[in-house]
Parts: sequence; C-alpha cells; structure tokens
Amino acid sequence: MNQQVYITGMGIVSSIGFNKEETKASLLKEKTGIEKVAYLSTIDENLLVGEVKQSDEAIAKSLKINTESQLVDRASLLGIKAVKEALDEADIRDEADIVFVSGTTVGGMSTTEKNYSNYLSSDDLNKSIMTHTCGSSSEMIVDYFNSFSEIYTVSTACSSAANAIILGTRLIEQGKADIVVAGGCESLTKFHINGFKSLMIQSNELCRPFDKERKGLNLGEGAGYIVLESDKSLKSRKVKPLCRVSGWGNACDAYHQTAMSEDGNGPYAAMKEALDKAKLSEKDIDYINLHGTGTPNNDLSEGIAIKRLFSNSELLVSSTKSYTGHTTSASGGIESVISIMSLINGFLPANLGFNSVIEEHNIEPIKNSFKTVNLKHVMCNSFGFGGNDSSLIFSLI
Amino acid sequence: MNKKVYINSFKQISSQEPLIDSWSSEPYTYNGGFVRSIDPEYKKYLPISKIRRLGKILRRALLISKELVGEDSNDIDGILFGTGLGCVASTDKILSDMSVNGESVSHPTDFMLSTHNTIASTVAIHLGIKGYNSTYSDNGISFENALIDALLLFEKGECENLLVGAFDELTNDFYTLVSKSNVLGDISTYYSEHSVGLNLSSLKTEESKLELNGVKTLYKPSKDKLFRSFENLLKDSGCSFDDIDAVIFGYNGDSKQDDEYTKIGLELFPNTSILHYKHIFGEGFSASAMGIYVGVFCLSNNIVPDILYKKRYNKVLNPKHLVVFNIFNNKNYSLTLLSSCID
Repeated sequence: MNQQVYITGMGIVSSIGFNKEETKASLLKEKTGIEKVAYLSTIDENLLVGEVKQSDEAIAKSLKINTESQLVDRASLLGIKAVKEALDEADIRDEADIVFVSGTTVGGMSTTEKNYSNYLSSDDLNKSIMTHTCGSSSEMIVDYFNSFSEIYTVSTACSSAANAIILGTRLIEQGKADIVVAGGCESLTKFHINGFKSLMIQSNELCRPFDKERKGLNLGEGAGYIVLESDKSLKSRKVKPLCRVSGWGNACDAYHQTAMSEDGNGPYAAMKEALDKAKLSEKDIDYINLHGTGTPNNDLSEGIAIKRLFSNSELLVSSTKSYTGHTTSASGGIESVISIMSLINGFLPANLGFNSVIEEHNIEPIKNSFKTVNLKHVMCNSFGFGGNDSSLIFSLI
Repeated sequence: MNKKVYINSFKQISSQEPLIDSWSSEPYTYNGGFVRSIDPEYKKYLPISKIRRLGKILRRALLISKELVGEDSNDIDGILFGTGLGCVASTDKILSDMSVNGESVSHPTDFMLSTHNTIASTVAIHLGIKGYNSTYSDNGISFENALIDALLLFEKGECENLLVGAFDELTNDFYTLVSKSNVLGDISTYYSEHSVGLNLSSLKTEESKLELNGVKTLYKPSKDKLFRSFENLLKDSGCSFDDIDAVIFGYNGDSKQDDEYTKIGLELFPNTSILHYKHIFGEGFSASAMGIYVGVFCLSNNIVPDILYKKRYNKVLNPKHLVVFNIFNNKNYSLTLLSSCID
C-alpha cells in the first residue's frame, strides 16, 4: 500500500532566475537576488527584497496571456511559469486528471490591494474580487493548462508549499493519484511587507541567516513546483525519475502565533517524523536546506532543534533565503527544487552573509559553495506562523 | 482496504441558534441580504483573558473545538481546517486602513491574525494539540479538502482522533464585493457566516452513530467525470444508487446552478428524496460544510426534519445513507457519502 513517490520534473522562478538553469548559475556564483525594490510600488524605496525581475505584463507576455481579457494575478503568473517548466521537464503534454496541490497565503492580494479603495464603487473592478482568494490563485494556474481535474490549496503560512508537497506525496503513496504537481507561489505585496514591518522582523540590510549578528529577514517572491509520480505512471509513460520523496513530517509547535518555542519543539518533531517515515537515521542526511529566515527567533530555535536531533559533525547546512529572500508560502517549493537540484547535480549553495556562529547551538553553515559533492539524502525545512512546521527528505534512487 | 471513520460529535455556529440544533424544528428565518452568525456568549465558555485579542472567527473556532474536545485534548492527533476567505475581518481592517491612510499604517496584531492558518494554530496553541496541522483554502470546497486529508491520515493508520472544521466569516465590505461580483450566483437565500466542527475517530464508541465513508472534490468536471465520481464514491463503500435514502443538495436560488442540481437529481437519483439547507443557513464560502453538518445531524438523530425536504419522494424514516453534493461558483464540486452505523 505504501507506494514509492518519484519526482520527474521541477520548475522554479525567483529573484535569482526564471528557470532551473539560471537559478543554479546564481547559486554557484553566490549571487544574491535581493536588491532595492523596483517592481512593487511601495513607500520605502530602499526596501531590500527578492523580487522576480520582471513586470506582470512581461511575465504574462512570455506566457502568451492577454491580461486585458483575462484576470491573472502576479502570484499565479509566477506559478504558471514554474508549473510549465515542471510539466515540460516531466514531458507531460496531454495527460489528463492530474492533481494540483498548491501552497499560498497571500493569494491574489496584489490585485486586491491595488483595487481595494475603488472596489466598492466600481462595478467593473469588483468582479476581480475572486482573484483575491487562495483557492482562486490555484484556479488561475490550473485554467492555463488542460491537465488538472482536482485542486487542493494549502494555506499554512510559510510552510504552505512544503505541506502541499506532503499532501501530493501522500496522495501517490496511498494510491489516490498517479501524477501530482505540488509546490507553491507567492508575490510580494504591500500588505505583507508592511505586516512584517509591523512585527519588526524585517531587516534593512541583506539578511544573514544563522549569523550571530542577524537582524531579520528580507521578503521575496516566486514559485517552485515539482511533478510527483507513481511507479505505475513512470512505467506507462516510460519516463525516468530524477529522485524520490522519501520522508515528510508535519507538526505544530503550538507555542505562539508568530514566535517559535525556544527549544524548537515543533521543528524537532517535524524533522524527527520525516526521518522516521524515511526509515533513515540522522546520520544518513547529507545536507539540510534550512528554513533559516535570518530572524533572531527562527535561526536560534531551528538550530537548537537540529543540534538536539543530529549528532553528525559532517552534516552540511545552508539557508538559500540569502539569495531569494523569504518567499513565504512559496519557500517550501522553491527550496525543495533547490534541494533536489543540489541532490541530483551534486552541488551545494553557500549560506551568504554568515560570519560567526550563534553560540547557543554553534552551527556553522556552508561558507563556500561546493561545486561537486556526493549526496544521497537531503532535507528541506519549512516553518510557518502559528507553529506550522514541516520537513521533507529527498533521496537519490 | 478502507478503514472506518466515525463522526462522534459535531457542533455549529451559524445564523441559527448556536451550538444546538433547534433549527431543525424552529429555524430563524431571514429575507436575503447578509446575516451574521449568532455568537454565543463566549465569556461563559472561555476565559476572557485568553480571547480578548481574538476576532470572531477565532472565538468561534476555539469554542467549537473546545466543545468537541472536552477537557482532555491529549487524544487529538491533529487539526485540519478549511476556510475560503480566512480571517477576513483582520484582512479587511488592514486593507481599509491602507486604502485611506496609506502604507504607514501599523496593525501588528491584525496582521498576525490575518493568515488563514491562524484559525487552526490558535486552536492548537490554546488546546495544546501538537500533532499534524493543516489548513485548506479552496473557495467553496475547503472543508471537503480538509476531510479528504483526514481520511488519508486515517487510512494510513496515522491517527485515531482528528479535529476537522470549516470556518468562514464575512465583513460588510466583503459581503458587498462577493454579492456584487455574483461569485455565488444570483441567489435567493441570504449570505451568511458558517462555522462547523466535527470530531472524527477511527474508534467506534457507544456514542458512534455514523461514518464518513468518502469525499471527492472536482474542478470543472465534465458531466461524464462527475457521474463516474458519484459511482466510484458509492462503489468504494459498497453502496448502490438505490441504497441512498436522500441526497442533500446546495440549492441557493441561483436558477442556473439550481437547474444543475435538479438535472443531476433526475438522472442519478430519480427515486430519491432531495433535501436542501441553504434556505435555513444561507450561502457562503463554508456553506457546504453546513450541508454535511445537516447530514450528520439526520443520521445521528435518525430523523429527517420536514423543513429539509426540497423534493419529497418518500418520507425518509430511518436514513442509512446520505449523499451531500455542492457546487460553488460553477467550478468547485464536492461529493460526500455519510452512513449510519447504528446496528
């Protein structure tokens, strides 16, 4: 009953690239995508964000979407771009009845906040309220393709995409689906930029995940999706898998709405569950792509949880949020794609902005990227507001 | 092999009397527009110090969860909630202030409470439930997707007890937007807010009266695909169309969508009584959860209240199997099968 879950395609868009190749190149060049805000119109001109370096119109044009006749929000445009790349790599063209599982929290907020002050008075505008919901964000993506018949939209804040991949994995594992596209998308909005500002966890310098002097996070945007497939489907389509999902964990810290418990109970439980499900020992994990937001609270708790669980002194860790910014709901998708690219191509990204260890856990992330390295099992962490903590393990076949 | 999943308790807060089922005999009636939920007096049930900062939707979720779980939350292995619009009151407050006063506004608490998963995590924090926790936000099928996730967990043997719920609130502004944009159709019933919680368990107790057999959601299905989904839903539980005692449809007065229910009723369930509920509870993003709630009520009490009949083929005396079917915005379809387990 417990079927293997294979990965046959991936797509990624973020501030460091419009596809996998560009993303990998930026990672190996140790080039961050976090810069002064340029595409989102906001009062703070010096705000540092990981923006996708194209306007809505340009992205729509590249996808042959006519934004005059069709309402598609920025987050969904990014989603379509990444899903398309993933489907292309998996060589999925005419297959029907594919399941779409997508994580988002901001949903269509970028359209809502643009229109909000005129919504109630304008009959033309208020139609677009349906781009607002998280569910509609998924529907706008699905409507671009002709392959999907079921949609699940997961909204667990910053772990949304990770939980989407977890649901997709379980649908295949338990024989409920043969092909699932899972991941997440999110666009920058004034709504959540100012929200994070009000919580005072946003840094006005480049973020420094896991560094003693870290001051907070930089927000980012983008999308990351993977194609999950059953053994049966691989055989009937005669395609080769890239790797497999070997474990997952989902736990609730149940501590505080926006802060993590000091000893990292939620992250510990999620990582432990993922190891148990993968039937792996902590020594088997070669690399962890950290949640590593660069906030004082996350990096302390996550590090303590890792220290509690892992005894392996060779364990390599890095946070790629120093490249992409914290892409919130999309981060689990974007960072899963980065983890899988690292696993199958044998490289590891450096953790930019790191100088000195956090004394409480003494974890030193990767300082210089590895151009070649042998990896078998990698872990990807995603933790969200409300203590929604999830962890995924990807393994070579 | 499917594991059995029992619904051992259920609670609602809606436009009807909260936490009880007086709607079945003495429903409040409303004439269109937007009707807010009738809130219980929260401070009677919850310590005021703990709920002071929580908005309506969070209070509703917390109270329903507490009523379902009782004093001991240790038995609960996870929380799965669905919400179409999420904590829209907090969101609306920030958006409204931003649209008048610009970006310099600061609402840390509202922002903190504005994400959809705030509902499930607030319950987790207050009741100390540290297991699996997820939130689905799929317009009109959010609750059903949460149920599907729950059934997967049960089938895998990952849990014994889960708290599953649907929570949606509405503000005046969002009501205006939703009704003007006609998303939910040209309805004749009213718009409202719905909060539903179910306690699902793999353990049959003396109180267990019904099972959740299966749930399926579809996006823009063809007629063929929809009909096959009905067949599979019943077949997977060893049921035939003739076994279904009544179907619960989401009629809301929108003529186009109502016609679709009627056609499906005639084609698939020609000899079956059709029930409806949105004339009692109103329409909304989580209204379909109310349909499932009504089914749970009927099987649990072994009764089909007269006010539920849309088309009476026979008076249903001892309902054994009920199908709940809903269409949202002509796109999201959900099918749920519930069966009595009273021997």
